[in-house]
Amino acid sequence: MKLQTFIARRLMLSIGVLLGLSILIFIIARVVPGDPVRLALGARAPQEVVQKVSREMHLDKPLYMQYGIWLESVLKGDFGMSLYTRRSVGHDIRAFLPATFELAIYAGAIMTVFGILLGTLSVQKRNSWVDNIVRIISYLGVVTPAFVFAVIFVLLFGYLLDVFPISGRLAAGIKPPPVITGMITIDSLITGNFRAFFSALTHLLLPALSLSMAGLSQQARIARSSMSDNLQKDYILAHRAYGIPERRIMFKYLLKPSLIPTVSILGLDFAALLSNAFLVEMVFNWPGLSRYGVAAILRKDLNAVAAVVMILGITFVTVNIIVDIAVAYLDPRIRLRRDRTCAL
Amino acid sequence: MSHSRRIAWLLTFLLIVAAPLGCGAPSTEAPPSEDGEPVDEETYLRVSFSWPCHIDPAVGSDYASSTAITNLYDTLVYPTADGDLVPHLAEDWEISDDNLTYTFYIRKGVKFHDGSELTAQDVKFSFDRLQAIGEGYAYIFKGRVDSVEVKDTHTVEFKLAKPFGPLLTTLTRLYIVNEDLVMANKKDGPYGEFGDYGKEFLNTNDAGTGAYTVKEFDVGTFLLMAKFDDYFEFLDPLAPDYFEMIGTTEAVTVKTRMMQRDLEISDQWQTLEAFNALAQIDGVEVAKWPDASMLYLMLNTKKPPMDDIHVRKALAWAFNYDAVVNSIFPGTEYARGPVSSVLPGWNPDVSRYSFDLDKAKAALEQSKYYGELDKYPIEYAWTAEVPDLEKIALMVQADCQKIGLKVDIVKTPWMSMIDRAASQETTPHIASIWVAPHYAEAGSVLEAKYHSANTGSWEQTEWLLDPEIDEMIETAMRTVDIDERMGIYRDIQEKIVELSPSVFVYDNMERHAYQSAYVEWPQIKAPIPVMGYNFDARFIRVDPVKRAQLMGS
Repeated sequence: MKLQTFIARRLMLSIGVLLGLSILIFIIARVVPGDPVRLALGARAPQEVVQKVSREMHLDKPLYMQYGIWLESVLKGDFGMSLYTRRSVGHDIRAFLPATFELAIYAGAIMTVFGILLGTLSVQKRNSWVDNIVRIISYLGVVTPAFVFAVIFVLLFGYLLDVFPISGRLAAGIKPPPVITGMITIDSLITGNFRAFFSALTHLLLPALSLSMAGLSQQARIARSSMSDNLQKDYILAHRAYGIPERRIMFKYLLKPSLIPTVSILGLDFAALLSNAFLVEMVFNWPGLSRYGVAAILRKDLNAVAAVVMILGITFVTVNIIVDIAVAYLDPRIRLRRDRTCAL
Repeated sequence: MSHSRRIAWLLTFLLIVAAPLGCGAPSTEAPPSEDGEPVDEETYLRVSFSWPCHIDPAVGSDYASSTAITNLYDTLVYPTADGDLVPHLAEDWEISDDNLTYTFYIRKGVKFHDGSELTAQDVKFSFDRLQAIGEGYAYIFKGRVDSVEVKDTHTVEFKLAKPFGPLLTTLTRLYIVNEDLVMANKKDGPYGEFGDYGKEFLNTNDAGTGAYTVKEFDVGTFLLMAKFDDYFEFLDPLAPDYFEMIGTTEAVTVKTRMMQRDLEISDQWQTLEAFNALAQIDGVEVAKWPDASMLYLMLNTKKPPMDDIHVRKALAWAFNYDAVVNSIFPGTEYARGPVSSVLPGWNPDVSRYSFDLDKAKAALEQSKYYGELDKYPIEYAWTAEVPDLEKIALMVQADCQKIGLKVDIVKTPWMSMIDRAASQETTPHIASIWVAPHYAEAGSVLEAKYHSANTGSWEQTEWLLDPEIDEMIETAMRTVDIDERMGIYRDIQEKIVELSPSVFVYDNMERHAYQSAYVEWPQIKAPIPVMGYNFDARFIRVDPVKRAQLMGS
């Protein structure tokens, strides 16, 4: 199968998945008991105002009509109004999504770089005390929820050592850079505002680290296991026999093929970052989409819930397509195998 | 490894290690001047709140919103700690002989934040806008004020549908917006020539005269307000330059920020353990005052056996008040009657029930259901979102069993409770619910909780439907003379205690940890019984020198 055909097939499948997701979330959000408008306007809001807002949100119509109206608006780029923030959900998404993306990107970078580094170190020092410590830390990292790390980091770096900020995205005295991407570190770099850049970076570090711990540990474990397996392969033994230096074998011949499993689970790890971000955002008062999404669910803010789930769904699907393409590109056997399956 | 790769690794490492050294901890950051450089003298008042916060005075009505709006906008009158009112935007007022027209004389020279002058037309516009939108505090005026008319630039008349004694008190919730600014920023919307009535604009901007103006509002996390130097009224020289409301109640974050002196006042939603821990911080104290709300066990007086007054009285005697105020909700105060003791019009002389199972049994023996009470199980619905309420339910169940009443406990989500309160049949025998006054007078609670017109709402699951009580409440509402009105309120409370439609559990106490070492908070010594006004930052003093000393130590 050609790579283009492979991509086209994955895209078509993804659209079907997203459509199914939208129907599911639309039904679930509406069958949960309680009137969202009454909840938003308060129990003392006059009935006629509740009815007026319900009409404006089309909640007086049958479910299938509500879905049709919603889908049509969404295709035009309009997600409707949020009852929580009282403004358009599209506006909210533009305001909150970059903060979560920025957090996830940094967490993803920490997770990938340090995960693979730790995995490699562990293999290099196999069965030594270094290897054992890395393995113990990896186990702890996988089983400990992100918010526990968040609380520990707040207490350690914010409270005891007092070296990192524990709330918000920028120090109070720093002027935020003009919004270009919405990611403060990038916007401040583009505009040459290094003071804002460093402030944003210090604010990012603890939440990103908390968020990355589980993925980092998983990456370290998988990298170690994958490299250990490959270490026994004939081609590595052959390299050794030819007298190629051990470091060169490790980084040039062993690391690259060993990365395929870690790349494969990157997509899943990235999705886990987005979903785990909620508690981290709560602890660090980070104005991100996950925090917004949970507030929307608690307040039954229908349009916001649907939009957040769809955005996360689209992100998850996109990341996985990219990962699949990357893996298929790295390892042609995967494409060929799918080709054979199709032929059958 | 190639040379360029080594450099890339090194840079990544350095970036991460050097970042905290680059700008240090943020807690000592000063607010920005125009060129973005910090200025040491400026001060902050930072308070954590439960979010969201709606700063449009025609939309917001919860705690955070009321606090923000009170700082951004002004009202015709201003409430005092003793329940009185003093002139504010209105210099003076007159009431017509038929009590249907209130004429207000607006203070001259009051400036909006954009420099324009506030006029009578802005008052009319603010009232019309609030009523047209119908959200926020609009319900307080609905059906009571017919119209607001402009007589001249600085005179405005409120025309009432019928006499309404507490009108002046309710005007502490009519915040005046700048008509010109709002109309200049209107978008298309459902209000005809008024478009969206500036709702989108006022969602993140202000158009007020308040002591503070919006500097930056991230609707998800914080609201930063800056001092308005042209404020028309008293503004303490040590009032903070910036008032920041922070949308978090996360205990670890609050405690750490208090430690870092990066938060001046905590929210009220911390647990007792968290407050005790905060009080241990050097220079931090916990302030508390009654917030005028009360916890009630509301008894459905139309459902057997609760339709029998003796059963209701038995329940009131069988309730262990001590256990609640000492153990389940420690730090609260015994309720003394149907309204909070801080509300003007509260009757200190009403008789009180105490925990006495013998009296409870004696009351039950007088009941028509006595001897067959096992046929009438009592359904006790507690609000699922507040787990501590289950403790009260279990306690009531155990004590009732001792006097022969069978109580079934039902965990009920708040939205279901609202639905169930809509009819007599679906309302449970007992519901444990807090009620806060809509405005600072006993009449507010009495009307919401016991007037027949308000049945079907979660505030009144008693279904009292008593014509005599209705008449007394209506008479009080029509009475403009304040002493006379307060007298009627007191009579109503006596009558209600006689009827025992509710068990009056406790007066809620609002608690906040605050940096007493450098924050002087006058309102906690004389709390104002109107939500949000105790955070009017123009009276609160933040001393930067004392803060610096504390940070140094």
